Amino acid sequence: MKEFIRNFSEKVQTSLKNLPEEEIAKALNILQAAYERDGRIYIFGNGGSMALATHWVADFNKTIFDSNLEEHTRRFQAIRLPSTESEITAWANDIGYDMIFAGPLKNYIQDSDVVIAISSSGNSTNIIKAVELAKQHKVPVIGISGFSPDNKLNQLSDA
Amino acid sequence: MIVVRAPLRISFVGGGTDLPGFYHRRPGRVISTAIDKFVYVVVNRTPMIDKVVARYSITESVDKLEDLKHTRIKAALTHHGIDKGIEISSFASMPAKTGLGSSSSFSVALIKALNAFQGKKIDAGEAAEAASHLEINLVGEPIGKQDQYAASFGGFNIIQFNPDESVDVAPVLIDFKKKLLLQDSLLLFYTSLTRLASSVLTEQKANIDSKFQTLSEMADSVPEFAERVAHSDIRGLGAMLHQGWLKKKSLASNVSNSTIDDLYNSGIDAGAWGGKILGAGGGGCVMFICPTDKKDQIRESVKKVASEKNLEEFREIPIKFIQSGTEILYNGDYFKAPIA
Repeated sequence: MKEFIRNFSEKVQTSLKNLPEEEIAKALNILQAAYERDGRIYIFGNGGSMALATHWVADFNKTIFDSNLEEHTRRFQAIRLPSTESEITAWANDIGYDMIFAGPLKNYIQDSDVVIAISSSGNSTNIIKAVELAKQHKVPVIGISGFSPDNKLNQLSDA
Repeated sequence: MIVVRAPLRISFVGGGTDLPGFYHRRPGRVISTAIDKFVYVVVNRTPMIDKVVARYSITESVDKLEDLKHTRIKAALTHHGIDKGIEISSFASMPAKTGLGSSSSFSVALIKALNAFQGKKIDAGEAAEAASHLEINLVGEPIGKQDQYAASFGGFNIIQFNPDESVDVAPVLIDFKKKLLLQDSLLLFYTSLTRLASSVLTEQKANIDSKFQTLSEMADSVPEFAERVAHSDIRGLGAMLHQGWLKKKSLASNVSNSTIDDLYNSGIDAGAWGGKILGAGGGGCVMFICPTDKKDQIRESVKKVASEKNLEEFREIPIKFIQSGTEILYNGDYFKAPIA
């Protein structure tokens, strides 16, 4: 058991060491640009990725500027999509699960915004539909995916 | 109504290699960053008024597009097939002809606004290309393409101009604190001497053959400059800027003049590591890279020269690097069906 845990921990460390630094740097630039133009950040994912999205929204909207807000006077404006459980079930029940992110995104999206899509496989249909909508609007997309780099989200994302 | 904002830029090295006479023979390259000074273009739909109205330093209101005096607005509207029912205004945080690329920032913002007006979304590359086409081919200005790309993409970039007319924009990914240090090591002064880029560039264009070697060296120095930016070698950047400025001065007789030389030399004598005149030359802004503890000395020394030369509007311009490019800040025009 201990050996399994050690191996697992090593795998995690290897993954962290191999993070794509250049793509992360590009993502930071995209976020900074959105901040400068007062744009909003929409974050979404399925299951555990939705939990990540919610956590990230809290970080953007509260934690990131905690130590030096006086200099900055305003925080990020991040929104998890859909922002309510009611919307998830409404879109899923009335239209279909494929539209639970694209539906609410279409409602909000403006030219100055940014989208962060989280999908372990990078191929979830509902995620890709929302990302395609963002691309049609020429809104920058930051894609977070796992498993293999050969996935749709990775291909569509700007970082 | 549609509101579009485009940043101005400061360019470090490689200016002049964005002219087709050069990059058709070998790729041109510049390194520049967008700054927190902007040009705004506002486009308003006036369905009840069959006129074209353009508001800038003057207000024009014409029944026929061909009577419009503003060459770029006229060419852009013609290109987009719009000849009535539109009102276009521009605003800027800086005067024109400062060497900060404002005229191309205007063009990119205009292109983005007119596309939005027609219900079309375009990305940064398309906007930059269209703005270059407007200025260079439709209006016939003898300028390059670096400013259109700098304004459209925003951020700190190496921009490469390829012989096949394609352009590559590669962001220089700089650690936040290093970026702040570089920003803090810059001093920018508006000389209040103004010139049209075209007057300098016309001569520079004619000289491309004889200056091909110098221009090649300038384009080649861009990756090294980016490397030094990434490593925060501020002194080295100053030295490179100085070398670049000497080369640029040799490109055309009117890049510099005695007033500019005196301003520049006073900054160097007061401790700056290097510097340059921004823009095509002949006036505009002078920029220095210097040790942060020498800034006050340099300010004093440069201001003294400026007052001796009676440059009444001479002043320091505080700047910050910014990441945003040309953005639609507001689009309240719902005439066309929304996409998707």
